[in-house]
Amino acid sequence: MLKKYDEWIPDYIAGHLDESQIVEFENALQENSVLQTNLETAEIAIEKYAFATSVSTEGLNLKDVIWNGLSSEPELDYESDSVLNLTNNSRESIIGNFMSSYIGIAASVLLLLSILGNIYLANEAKYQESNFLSTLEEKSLLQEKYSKVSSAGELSAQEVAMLKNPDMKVCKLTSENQGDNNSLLLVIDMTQDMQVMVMSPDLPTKPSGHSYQLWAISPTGEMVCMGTFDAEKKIYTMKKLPFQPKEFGVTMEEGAFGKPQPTSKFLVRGI
Amino acid sequence: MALLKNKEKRGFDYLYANYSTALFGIVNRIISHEDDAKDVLQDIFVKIWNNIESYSPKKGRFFTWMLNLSRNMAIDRLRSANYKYHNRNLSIDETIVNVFDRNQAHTENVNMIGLREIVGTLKVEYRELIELAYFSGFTQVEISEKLEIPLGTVKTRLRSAIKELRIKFD
Repeated sequence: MLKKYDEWIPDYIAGHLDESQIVEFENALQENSVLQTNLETAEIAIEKYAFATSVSTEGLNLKDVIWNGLSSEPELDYESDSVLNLTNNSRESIIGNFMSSYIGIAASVLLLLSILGNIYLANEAKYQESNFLSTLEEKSLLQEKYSKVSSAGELSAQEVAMLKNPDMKVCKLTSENQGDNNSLLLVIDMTQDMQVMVMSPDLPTKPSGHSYQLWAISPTGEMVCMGTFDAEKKIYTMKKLPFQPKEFGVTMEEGAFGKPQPTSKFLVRGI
Repeated sequence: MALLKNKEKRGFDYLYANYSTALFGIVNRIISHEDDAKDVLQDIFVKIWNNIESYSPKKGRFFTWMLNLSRNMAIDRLRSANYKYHNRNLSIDETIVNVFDRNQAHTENVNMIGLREIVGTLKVEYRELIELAYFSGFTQVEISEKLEIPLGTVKTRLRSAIKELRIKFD
């Protein structure tokens, strides 16, 4: 066992042992005079080495300055200083100070992020509220419009039921290009099967062999294909989404079944 | 020790007269800027003075306690002052040269000259290990990684270094 504790001497002197090792080492120290001698020998050697590499303080004129400070300074709490307690691992002390400064920085960063996050959320809420009011208006108009159409026998029972569903969502998709007037209304029932009603499409005419492809865009920007649609048909059962979409978009893709990822710009997008 | 615990000026005088140069040497290894090193030395004396009660002779020598305290405070200052911690990145040869150069620039205590010559005769690899382990805050494992030598070799060399130091100083 002596060899083990002998090997610990450098780290003990330098304050690098952890708490349990310190206790173990100091217990061994009490019981083993050889270990005591070895420790003291090492300490004396290091002490002499430190003196051999000392730096003169003669020109510093510090002594009186320090004493004046000490004699006028109130006493501190001895117990509060873990740095000075040899039973504490000095390495941990360094890390502790290091961590506390980092915790301070981290707290400041978190506070800043929190403020920025709140500003973002406030703006987002404002935007969503305005969007929501707009879609509510659209929804109301649609319901009014289609109740009239329905009474005229132009809507199927399924379409009427969907429009009457209070949980349905109406999304207005528009072109990002100011020159384009592309637009589309989506009535989405996300409560059961993903029922999507495509309404009032105003999209560029698709060439033969192409289809419109509907995409759901997640808050992180992930795009999931919900399916393809033909503007002539009104209600589509599409894929369920693994997330609450941030917005929807429509592209024109080659083939009847679309592409795994958009290969062209969005014709329209929105929520 | 009793004078220090009783907060007597004679205790401070003794402390400063006998240990300020060695402690300043420790600080100088880590803080190269003299004004900052002076500030740290001042803080070290204040801390020793105010916390002398926490030193226990059963756990080691008084100088070892002050050495650790001084090294830790210098490292703390280095970090708090947003230094780039460049001294720890210096090669150990550069560090030793710096320490010796700075020492030469000051008026030397005659008693120290002999000790310095003795240290000068110590094998470079031993000096390197002593500097890293006791004055720069590296653990034996970190030394092993830094110098790319097995941990067992670090332990053996540290023991040999202490043994050689002891023989030379005796």
